[in-house]
Amino acid sequence: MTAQAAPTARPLISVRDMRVTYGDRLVSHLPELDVYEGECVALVGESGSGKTSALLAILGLGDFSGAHVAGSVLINGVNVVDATQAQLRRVHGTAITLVSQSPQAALNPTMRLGRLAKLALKQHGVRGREANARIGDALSRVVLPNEILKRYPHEVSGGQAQRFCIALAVALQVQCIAADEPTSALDVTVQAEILRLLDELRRERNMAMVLVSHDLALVSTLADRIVVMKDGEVVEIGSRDEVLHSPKADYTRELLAAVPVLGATS
Amino acid sequence: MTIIPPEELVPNDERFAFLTLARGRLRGQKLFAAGAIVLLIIIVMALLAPWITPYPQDAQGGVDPVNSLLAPNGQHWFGTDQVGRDVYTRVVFGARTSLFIVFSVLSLSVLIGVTLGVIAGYAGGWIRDVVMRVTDVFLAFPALLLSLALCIVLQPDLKTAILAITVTWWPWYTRLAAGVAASISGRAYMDAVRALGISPARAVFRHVLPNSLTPVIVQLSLDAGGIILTAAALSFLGLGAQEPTAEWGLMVAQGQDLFTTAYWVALFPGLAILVAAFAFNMLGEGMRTALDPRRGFTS
Repeated sequence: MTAQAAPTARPLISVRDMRVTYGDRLVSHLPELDVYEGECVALVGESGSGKTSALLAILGLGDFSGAHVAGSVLINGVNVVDATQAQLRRVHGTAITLVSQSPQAALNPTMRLGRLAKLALKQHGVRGREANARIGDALSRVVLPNEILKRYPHEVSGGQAQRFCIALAVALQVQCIAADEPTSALDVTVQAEILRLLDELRRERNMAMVLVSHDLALVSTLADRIVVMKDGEVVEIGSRDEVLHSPKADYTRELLAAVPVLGATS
Repeated sequence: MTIIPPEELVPNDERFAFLTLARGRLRGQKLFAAGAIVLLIIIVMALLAPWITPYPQDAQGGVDPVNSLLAPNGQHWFGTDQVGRDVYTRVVFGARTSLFIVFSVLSLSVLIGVTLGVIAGYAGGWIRDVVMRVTDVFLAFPALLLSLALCIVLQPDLKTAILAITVTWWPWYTRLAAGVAASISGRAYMDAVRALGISPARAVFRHVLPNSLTPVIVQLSLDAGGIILTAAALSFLGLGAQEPTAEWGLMVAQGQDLFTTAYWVALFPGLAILVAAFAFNMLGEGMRTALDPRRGFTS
């Protein structure tokens, strides 16, 4: 899959003039963004740049965090900004789902993983043998043993929990993963495994991905296009190569200059 | 294609995940064990009351004026009251009344209060506003005064006392559950639950409710003693259990004036209240520690 989708292709996610505000304060503004099947779009920026707020708003979850979202975010034809709960449920878990920053915190602490997986599939009409088959396939795809289904979130490692969250997305056969700093809470070796897994899934299943990260090294391995954000506004948007190798905005250059280099002393 | 056997996917005990979690974690909880043993003894004694008391007819209104106000002795371990009834018999039968009141009030309060609370806390917005304003109306009245008013307006008896206490008790559970549910609603796993497309009903009852129960259980244990005391207060004022019902509060009230001359009439039912309330508290504290979701099974 190439980074640039064919101009005639219909975007999976289409954002137009999306504004996220808390009271009078604008925390995130995305004027225009289309995400196509199989494409990975990364939102990058420093802490407080509005990238996570933008991601939650794209998911249609902005209101739950107390934000007000205006504009339009079309996912499979549903504008999640003003969608009803019933409309949102037709998008969540089918078109898009979330992979969080802290995988263990993203799992209900009083529910075994197997129960959670079964409930998620049941919500979308997948039951019995079909559900078991899908969960089995998803677990083997993310290289987790079936035995993990009997465990509670606190009984698995961060890497296993993140793999399980990804397995849920695979079992649900979602078209897009919204990943909020998916590796920031993991150690380096596990980070590499999760990155490889996400990249493989994207290629195998033509899965789209909206990735939020402040880690340009991670972004450079996964993203097809990069949106650079600062103080809630987009300062630059372009293909990975354009943004990383020929940045136009000063802020992007600052971000790139701030990437740590192994062995550098200053 | 890998098909996972159903029992491997969701073990049978998963249907009672909360209880399974509790059972695993309660092992080694000495406080819980002590409270549970004492309560179990009280419950067993209450159930077996007709067979383990020497004068079961004394619980139903039998009188024996010849033997009134006898000090504790071989025949009457806890002595006798003003009309010659065996205090030990009435204390054991009183456990039935007190436990019935406690379980009735707590069950009704939790059913109404926690259900409304988690829905209000999760939904937020106008639903929360309406529910919380209704609870404010109930909480605006002093609890005991409202209970007394209800008991006066309605026929004073045990059922009225239960209803009257429940009316003043459920709003606290609504408040507690709403606060906890609102906090849980903002947690990362609830964002993940929503992003999986889980319906609000499932989100509330499968995800929010089990995670809201720890503070509710602690509150239950603390309230159990309070309910016994409130029921006793109503009985004391003649608005709760009526003679000849054996009820600890009523017995304390009846023995109060005699305390300097026949201490046993009030002392033993008073001790029964103390022991039951203390056992409930120990049970609750043990449960609170055990059900903390961040604890492992073995720690």
